[in-house]
Amino acid sequence: MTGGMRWLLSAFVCLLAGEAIAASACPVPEAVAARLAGRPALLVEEGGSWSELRASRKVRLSSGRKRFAYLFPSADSGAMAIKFANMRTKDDYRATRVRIIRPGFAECGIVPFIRALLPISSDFSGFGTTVDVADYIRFHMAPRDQPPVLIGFHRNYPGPGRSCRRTDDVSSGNRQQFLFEDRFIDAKVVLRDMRLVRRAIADGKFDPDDRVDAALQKYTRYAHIETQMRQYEGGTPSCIHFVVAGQPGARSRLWLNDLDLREASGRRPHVEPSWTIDWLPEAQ
Amino acid sequence: MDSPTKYLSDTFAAYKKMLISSQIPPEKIPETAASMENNVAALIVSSILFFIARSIVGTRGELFEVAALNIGLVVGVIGAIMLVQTVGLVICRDTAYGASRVDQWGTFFVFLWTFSLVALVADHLLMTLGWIPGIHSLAGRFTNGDDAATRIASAAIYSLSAVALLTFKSQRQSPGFHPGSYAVAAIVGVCTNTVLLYFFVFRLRDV
Repeated sequence: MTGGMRWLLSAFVCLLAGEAIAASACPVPEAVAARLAGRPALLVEEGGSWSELRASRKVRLSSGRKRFAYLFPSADSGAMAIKFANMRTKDDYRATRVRIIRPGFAECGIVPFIRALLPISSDFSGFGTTVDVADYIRFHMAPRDQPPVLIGFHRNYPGPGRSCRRTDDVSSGNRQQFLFEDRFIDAKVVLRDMRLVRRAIADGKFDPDDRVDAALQKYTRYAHIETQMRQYEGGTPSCIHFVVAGQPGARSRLWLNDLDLREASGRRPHVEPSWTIDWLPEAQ
Repeated sequence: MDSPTKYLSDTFAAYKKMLISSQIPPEKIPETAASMENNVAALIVSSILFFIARSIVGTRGELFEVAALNIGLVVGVIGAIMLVQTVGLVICRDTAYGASRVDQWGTFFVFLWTFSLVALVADHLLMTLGWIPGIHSLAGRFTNGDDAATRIASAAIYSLSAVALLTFKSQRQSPGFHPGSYAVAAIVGVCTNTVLLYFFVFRLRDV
């Protein structure tokens, strides 16, 4: 079959079926989920069994690719930002790129139907792709539209109450949730970037008066930065699962940010749940 | 020797003349208005817009930081527009009125270039203020963030909006004007302008 024929066929199938439903079956056995009694919990799969990771306790895991599942109560569908970073030791270089990973999303709106007609890959799954750290910060810190790859990373998704919003929506406050530090939007960043001259800063130094530079300085504590995105359907419990690769001997931090979680007051929680994981050195 | 303010006022007067006289059918553009002087004045104004556009579009956008590159690109764009005019002249073989026709067509291309830059700058500023989602963001959603496709789509939309504006202006100024009879000119204009915007504003910005 020629490439053109294959594309036509796939476009036709996509038009009929829409994008594949991303929220695949939860890998956690029902018996394990039932023991949680509806409270939110992060589980990790080791040796074929699932164990809970307590946020308050020190977590030590064998290194390598690990499958995690997060179970939590949610009446509606939504999307979750998964932020993972390896802390830098004195022997590491600072991270200069952010890896972005997103499997197929079940999108709302007309966009996926038109996109299906274009011969362009719509997936950032597997190893995803990478973007410059400064570009990543600028995009999520202000209503910017560069670089295009980050526009492609974000998606329309069906949220609570039959709403259809973007994961990078500025007005609902979704966009800044993808920042690892100081999660707030500042449109002045765009205008400040347009200033006539940039103050001369020595190579490798940062301008403390520049918000992007100040943020970049905070990101130097990371040796590896990775952002994933998952979709969930409402349920008791709702479930997302993802894979991260633990580097032997490294200390990692994991943040889970439910874009649609709100407190009783209707406000977004100030603190996002996070875990610190120490990866065991490889066996000699 | 004339003062700089006189040069400035002459430039803006010539630019204004170009704006007023621009239409899609070149024969409707008065020869006095479509002089090379007016087009060059418009290109000077559009060069300022060009600096701003590249500063906004770029991921790091420091205005004038790469001044040498920007000036080089301005020269490149002006050269490209002149090349199109020259090729047009050779193909048209309009020897009797060649020079004036080329100036008139030049006015057409200069208008497209200038207003596509205005559209780009306005779109990005309004998007930054959160008033509109932004053409580039919308294009990126459909192209899944593919760099080249998003930028070409955005450039084409800005060029199309300039042609749409020129068509509207032509209909207002020349009541008998039928856009269909100038479809080829409009298509050539959109394609040329899209290529120029893509390469000189979007593509070379990340260098």
